[in-house]
Amino acid sequence: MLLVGEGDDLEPPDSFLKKKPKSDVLNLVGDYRFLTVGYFVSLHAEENGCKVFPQTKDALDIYRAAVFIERLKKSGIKVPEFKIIYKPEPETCVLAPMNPFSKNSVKIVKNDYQYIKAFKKIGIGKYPVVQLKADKVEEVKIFLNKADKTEFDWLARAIFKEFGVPLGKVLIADDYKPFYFMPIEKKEIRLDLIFEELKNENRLFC
Amino acid sequence: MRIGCFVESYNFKFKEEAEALQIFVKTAKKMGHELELVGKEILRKMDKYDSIFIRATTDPLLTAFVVSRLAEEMGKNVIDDSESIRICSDKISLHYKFQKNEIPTPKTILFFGDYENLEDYAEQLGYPVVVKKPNSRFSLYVEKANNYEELLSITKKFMRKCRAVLLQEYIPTNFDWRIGVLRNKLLYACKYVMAKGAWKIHDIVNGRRVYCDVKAVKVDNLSLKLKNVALKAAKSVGDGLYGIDIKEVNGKFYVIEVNDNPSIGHGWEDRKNPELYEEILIALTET
Repeated sequence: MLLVGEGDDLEPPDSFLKKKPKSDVLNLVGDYRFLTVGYFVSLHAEENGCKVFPQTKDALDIYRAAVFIERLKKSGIKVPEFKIIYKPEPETCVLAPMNPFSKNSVKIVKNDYQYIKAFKKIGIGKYPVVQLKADKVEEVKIFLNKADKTEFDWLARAIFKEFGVPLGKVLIADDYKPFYFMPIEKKEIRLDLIFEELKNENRLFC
Repeated sequence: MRIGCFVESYNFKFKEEAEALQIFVKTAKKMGHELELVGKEILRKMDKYDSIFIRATTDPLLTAFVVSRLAEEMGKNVIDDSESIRICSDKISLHYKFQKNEIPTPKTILFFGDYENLEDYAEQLGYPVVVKKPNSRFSLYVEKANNYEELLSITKKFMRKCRAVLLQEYIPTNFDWRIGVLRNKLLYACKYVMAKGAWKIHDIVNGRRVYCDVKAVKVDNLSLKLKNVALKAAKSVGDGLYGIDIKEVNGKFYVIEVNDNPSIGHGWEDRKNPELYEEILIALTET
């Protein structure tokens, strides 16, 4: 398994993109959004016939809140009820962008003023927005099958199983219900946890 | 069957496109189906439809992609499918497909920011060099560099917001073939004739925006070689609805790109093959 990313013992993305890879690839860039370096690493591996985590299709799905929630729901994970809004429907709620224009633009709004402001900002005045009810939102970082908060290891496992995405941040609404996935910053990547998990490589990638 | 057709306001900018949408509605009715033109509210009422037809700009960053993905998740028949959207919205991905499937194209080099090799790449291609951003569309983010200084300046500009660009050999022609393909069958054909002084389909000449002229050609009258190149290029992406752009030079054909969600304007693309509406509706309603 070739590990691609920034850090000791990893193949840097720039040199990876110039090679013709032959082995399986674990993409540890951390941001896999469309047309980013992480996306191109997965694409390059795929187009050279390599098994890669994550695949480009899953990398696109995971950052789109509505698709992320639907796929988790299908895989048996409890998710919050949500609606897709294209005209403001003010209420106390959480608003999330439908497509990943920025790394994190989820807003908790508590009154009409905040709602309208957030709706315009998140939808950039023209795109639909995902809206859901939640009293609080918690952020969890995932590293393959491990989370930075051990009570969420189950979620890291579920996400890797469903999407094959090894790194990222998940936003969770009340009662352990995930609803939004974001890229992780380079400085937040815990390679120690990754390498620990990779000791179980056979179980992990079967 | 009920077909939800996702449209956005700009679909009605040219009367030819608006008319084509109305022909879809009427043809569906004649065939015993119902095709409804719907805006973003389609995301809230996808359940109502048996299949989804997208007639809005498709890009993974736009609403159309989520419409396509959610419809697929619900098991609906969708044109355009999300994988075609992804591949066609990323010219790097498209280049990999062309290479793998031995599709004839102009000489092309992927540039990932290795500036130490840029001059060498230009030498291999020869000036002028065409530079394309991965998400180029409607001739946007496609520029021509006549020398190294221009090439450096264009690549730096394009790479401010992306990590890869395509460098391509420039093949001047008076027109590009646009061949419509659906489910691996030829659907329509036309020539997109460049405006005077233009080198691409949509261009700016002397400070003025100019558009190509569309000249339809009956599919039956295309050469076998052109038909085969178009079908092979389409197949390298998938089995959806595509518009293949091809250059012809001395009897040789070079595929420029495969576009998902190709424009269909009444009196333009449908002029010689008006049955295209029915063909698309059959594909949308087949089970």
